[in-house]
Parts: sequence; C-alpha cells; structure tokens
Amino acid sequence: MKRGTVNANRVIIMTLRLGSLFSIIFMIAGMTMFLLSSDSTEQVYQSLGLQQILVGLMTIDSVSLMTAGILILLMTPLLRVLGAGLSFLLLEKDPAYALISLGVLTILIFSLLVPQL
Amino acid sequence: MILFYLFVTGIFAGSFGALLGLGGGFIIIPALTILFGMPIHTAIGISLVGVIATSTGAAIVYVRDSKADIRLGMLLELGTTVGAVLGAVIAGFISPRALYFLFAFMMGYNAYSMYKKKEEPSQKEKTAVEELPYDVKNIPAGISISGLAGIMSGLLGIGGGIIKIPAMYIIMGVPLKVATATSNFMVGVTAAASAFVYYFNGNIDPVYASPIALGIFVGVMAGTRANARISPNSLKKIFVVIFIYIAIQMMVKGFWG
Repeated sequence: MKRGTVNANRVIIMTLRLGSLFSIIFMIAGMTMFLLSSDSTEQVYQSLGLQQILVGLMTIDSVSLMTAGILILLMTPLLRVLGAGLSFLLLEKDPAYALISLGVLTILIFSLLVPQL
Repeated sequence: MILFYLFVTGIFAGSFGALLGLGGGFIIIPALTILFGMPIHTAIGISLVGVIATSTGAAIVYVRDSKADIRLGMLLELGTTVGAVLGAVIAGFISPRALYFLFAFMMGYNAYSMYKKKEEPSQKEKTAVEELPYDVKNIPAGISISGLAGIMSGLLGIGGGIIKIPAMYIIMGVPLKVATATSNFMVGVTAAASAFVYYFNGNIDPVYASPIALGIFVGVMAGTRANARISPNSLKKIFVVIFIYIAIQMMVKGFWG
C-alpha cells in the first residue's frame, strides 16, 4: 500500500479507537450506576431524545450515560467513511472514490433525518 | 443478572462475528427473542448496535483489516445503505411473524452458505493467493445484491455479511480473505444506516444494548486466540448445525408467537 494510504489508515484507526474508548467508558459508567441504583431491568427503556440525554448527562443519569455511549458507537462507521473519503481526496488523489464516499456519507446523514419526515 | 447474560451473548457474537466477517446479528437476534423473550423489533434495534460494535471492534483489533478493499466496500455500500434505510423504514410496517419467518429463511440460507464454503487453503497456498492481484467483476450485480443485503439488514438487524461475502467471493471474483475483511468494514456502515432510524423511532433499548456492545468488544479481542484452537472445519460443522437449529426455532416462533 502507498505510504499515504497507510498513514491515513492509521489516523482512521486511531480515531476509531478513541471513539470506541469513549463509548465503552460511557457504557460502563452508565451500567455501573444502573446496577448500583435499584432500577428494574424488567422495564423496557426507550431510546432517549438528544435533549433528554444532554440533560441526563449533566445529572449523571445512568440511562443517559449508556445512551450517550451507544450514540458514540453508532457514529464510528460514519467516522470511518468520512476518514476514507478524505483520504481518497487529499492523500490518494482519487476524486472518484472521494465522491463515492461522499455519497455513502450523504445516505448515512439522510438516515438521521428520515424519522423526522 | 440478565445484564450478565447479555454480556456473555455479546462475547459470543463478537468473537465469531469478527472471525467470519459477519456482524453477529445471527447470534444476537435469536438469543434476544428466544432466550430472553424480547419482542423482535426491540431485538433488531439492539442487534444493529451489536453489528456496529463488531465492525468497529474488528477494525481496531484485527490487523488483518488492512486486507479490506475499502474502495470496493464503499462502492457496494452505496447500494447497501440505500437498502438499509428502506428496510428500516419498512420494518415498522411488517408484522413480527413475517420477520420471524424471514429470519428463519435467512438462517437456512446461512446454514447452506456455511456448508458450501470452501475449506481453508493450506498455509503455503494462503500466502500465494493473498498476494495475487484480482480483478473485480460483475459490479452492477454486486451492487444490486448489496442493496438486497441492505434491505435484509434494515429489516432483520443483521449486518448482511452472509450475503455480501459470497457475492464478493463468488460473483465478483474477490479472494475470500479480502471479502471477509471488506465485509467486516461494510456491515458496520450498513448497520449504521438502519440504526439511526431505529434509534429515533425509540427502538433501541440502551440498558440491554450496552452489555451486548461491551461483550462484543471483549469477544472480538478474545476471539482470535480462542478460535485458533478449533479447526476451521469443525467450526464450520458446528455452525451449520447451530444455524439449522435456530432456523427451526425462529419458524416455530413465527407460527406460535
């Protein structure tokens, strides 16, 4: 593989590692808090809205912490596509695949908006 | 206690999923619906989180991921992600019963696919094959099949790797190891496309999803060492049996609810 590709891969993987780390920390923190509290696991928890999560994080609510962890995890593939796209564009000078990556990224971002339609 | 069992389920899903280039959905969904008795739509949401965990986990743990053909993956993902969003949207309108049957059918195909999978080549052959450059053929067919894999992903909460790997390997002429590594990359992107739809529809239970995701990270890391001890062919046979068993169970669930 070309030097540029290898370096780009390293950066992407480092970003994924960082993202995964944050995700894991939030999830463990949330789970620990959940176990310590007497919340029942019988209850079905719905995913919280973003505003609720931000409020929840400030009050260190267990479910908000776990949800934040999951949302970060859900972001990691997006980061990967973004990273690959930038790598194609800037490092490998491959505009065709940069465009394809942009296409995939657009579809992913669109998926965020679909439920609002 | 249930959280611990979910964690263990995650470990299994992560270790086998990453090894086979799958997302682990085939282990998570039957476990959640049959063992834990969850409604299938909830199970699917959680499974999608699991597939992403497997994909990202495999990326940061497995050095072999450098074999992934990112260009091919990205191209095929144009098809898969569209399919995934469609599948996720339609899923809300499909009855749980239909989903059970569909899943059972996929499991049957899974078993068949595993059964027909070629034996791992010997060590010497392996290195020779990996170095060969390959030409990617039948791209439009590949994208269409990827679209189908995407719809399955959105409907059933699987990664779609079980469709993509044979598509790449058999139809597009990609070496198996490259197909597997590329699939590891692709399933994460595909699942992300459906996951957000499920999330904003309130279908991802964070309390159950977290232990699964954590288990998966552990499974992906521990998986290589554990799986190296078992011969790939016995592994294959075990999986064929397990998949058939799950297919039957899911059909039963479809009939009896």
